[in-house]
Amino acid sequence: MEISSKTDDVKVEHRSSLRETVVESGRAFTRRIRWIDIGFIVLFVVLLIYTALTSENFFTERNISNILRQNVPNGLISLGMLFVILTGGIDLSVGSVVALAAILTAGLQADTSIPVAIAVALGASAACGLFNGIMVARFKLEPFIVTLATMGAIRGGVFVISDTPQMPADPAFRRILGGFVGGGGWLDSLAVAAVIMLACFPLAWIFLNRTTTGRAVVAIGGNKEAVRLAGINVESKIILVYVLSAFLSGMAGILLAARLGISQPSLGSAYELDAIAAVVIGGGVMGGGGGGALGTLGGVFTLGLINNLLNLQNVQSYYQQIVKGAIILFAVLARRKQR
Amino acid sequence: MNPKKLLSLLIMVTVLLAVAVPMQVIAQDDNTLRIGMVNLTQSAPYFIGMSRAVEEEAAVYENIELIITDANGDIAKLTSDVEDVLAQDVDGIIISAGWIEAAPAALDAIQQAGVPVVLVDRLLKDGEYTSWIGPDNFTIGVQDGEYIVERLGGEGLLVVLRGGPADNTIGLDRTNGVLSIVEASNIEVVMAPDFGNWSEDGGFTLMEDMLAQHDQIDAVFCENDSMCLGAQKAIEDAGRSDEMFLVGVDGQKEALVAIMEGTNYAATGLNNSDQIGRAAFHRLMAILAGATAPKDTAFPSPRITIDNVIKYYNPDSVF
Repeated sequence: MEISSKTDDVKVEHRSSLRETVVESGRAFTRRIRWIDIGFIVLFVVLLIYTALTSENFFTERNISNILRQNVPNGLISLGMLFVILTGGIDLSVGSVVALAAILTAGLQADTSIPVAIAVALGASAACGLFNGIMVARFKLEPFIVTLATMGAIRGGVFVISDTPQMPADPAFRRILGGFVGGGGWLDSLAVAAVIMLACFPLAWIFLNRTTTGRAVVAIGGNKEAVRLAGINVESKIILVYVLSAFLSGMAGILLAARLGISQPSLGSAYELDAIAAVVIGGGVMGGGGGGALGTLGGVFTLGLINNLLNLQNVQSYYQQIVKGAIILFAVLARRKQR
Repeated sequence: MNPKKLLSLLIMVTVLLAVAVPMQVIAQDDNTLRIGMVNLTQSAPYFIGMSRAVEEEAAVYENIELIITDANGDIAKLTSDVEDVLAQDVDGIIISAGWIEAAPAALDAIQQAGVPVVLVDRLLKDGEYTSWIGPDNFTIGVQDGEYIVERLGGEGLLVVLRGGPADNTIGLDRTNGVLSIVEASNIEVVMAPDFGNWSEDGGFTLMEDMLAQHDQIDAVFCENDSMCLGAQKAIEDAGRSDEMFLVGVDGQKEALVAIMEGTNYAATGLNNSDQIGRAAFHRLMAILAGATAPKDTAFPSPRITIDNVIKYYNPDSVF
């Protein structure tokens, strides 16, 4: 008995030093700035200048407010997607979770209070993430397949539980979460949802860079086996990122229902694509091994800005899709060269 | 940054600008009327036809500038598109809301901006709009239902193919219209359990399954013509064309041909997006000129059968 406990002590000591190394390498990952990131910052600035020069309606309070508000769902979903991608996974079910949360919030408001409706929606969203996480971490299934399956199943469930084509949201809920901060001046055009979304990014940065769990998440994508050997519970971290992803998607759904004033079961279709694009443009590497919160925020707004710019320039939707596709391809191509 | 990296960055920026630069800076001429055409989707010929009709009518006038958007079926993007169009100081907006039922935030934004909004095709609930022009889908269904009951003499089995998904009310209205008439007769109704997604191949697959399940089918109703065209092929492949007839909705060109040729494609209800689009454009122009427009205008949707099909057939139409 005594001998074995001694060896355990040695192991623990050895593990904790390994753990520090892993955590350090995780930190290094998020800190390294690559030329491609500078490239995208330049692209972002060029876009801004170009738009300002060609469209007199761009730098108006209304338009800036629009851009901020329009990117709330993608901002939150992309953040969750970033966590998942950092661990080498992917979450295709985010759009369906958006619909689930939106339908539950709007649907339950009629029978219960708004906070209860929101709590149930967030709980259900997190449960979806828990299921994804357990399937991936414990049953060792391909994240792509697991979340592809839940993407379809959750969407089907949403259609089953929503007995009407569209559910109107409570006016009070709409006013609070779908409205503006208010208080005079520019605060009148600052959406509450935008504040919530923007606040999540520094929190995510702190999580990824200043907490042991966050650094482990980053390190898992780099070398899962090394992290496991360091005595870090990889399974629980992987489950955590899927829960976070679903939770943030649930928040996106709730804020979307508040903004639109209604919710419908087909809400959030194909949102996973924009989120993956934002993460990749922001420096995320598919399969893990790179990416950070601030980069993702940049990715979200680069995409959002391109959308808005092309709309203001009256560029047809089909061309918009080509431009977006080209940018995503360049982002991936450039990063592949880097490695 | 080494030269290679700089080069690929340059390529990136160039591609972007190459697409953006030819789109000229919008002339801020006082004489120019700016109109927004906001589409929920351009995924079906019906909706493309609607947008094209507005485009063609606007092109007649030199000082009308049309801003067209397409939300790819996403109601959140539709709302953003409305905001982006409003940010360009448009004089009026036409909304083709596809299959959605309500878009309160989008309508609120327009109301705040104080520009007139004309809804086409879809009548959006719970919001202020200036005028609506579109088909009365329930009435089209009723017409189809009357035809089915009359032709079957109130007896037999009717199969219904729905477009889906369940959050569209256009299909629901049409089917409910049919059911409101058929349910008063002795006709037995069987709904295909799955959705045909409004497409020919969807209708084909659904009909194959229904044919396998039922030895005797007397009539088929489809929520649109595309699905009925697919179903007709499945029935033909099964060698059961003489057993049943088909009734659809829309007046799609291919369906009109099938009716004209005297096949078992028996009837459809006209729902002409080209005419509705043109009417909506002129409705908006009249409103901008100061006319007081009627709030709701249901476009006439006559029933089309072999007796009158020649009046509605236009070989040059898009849809």
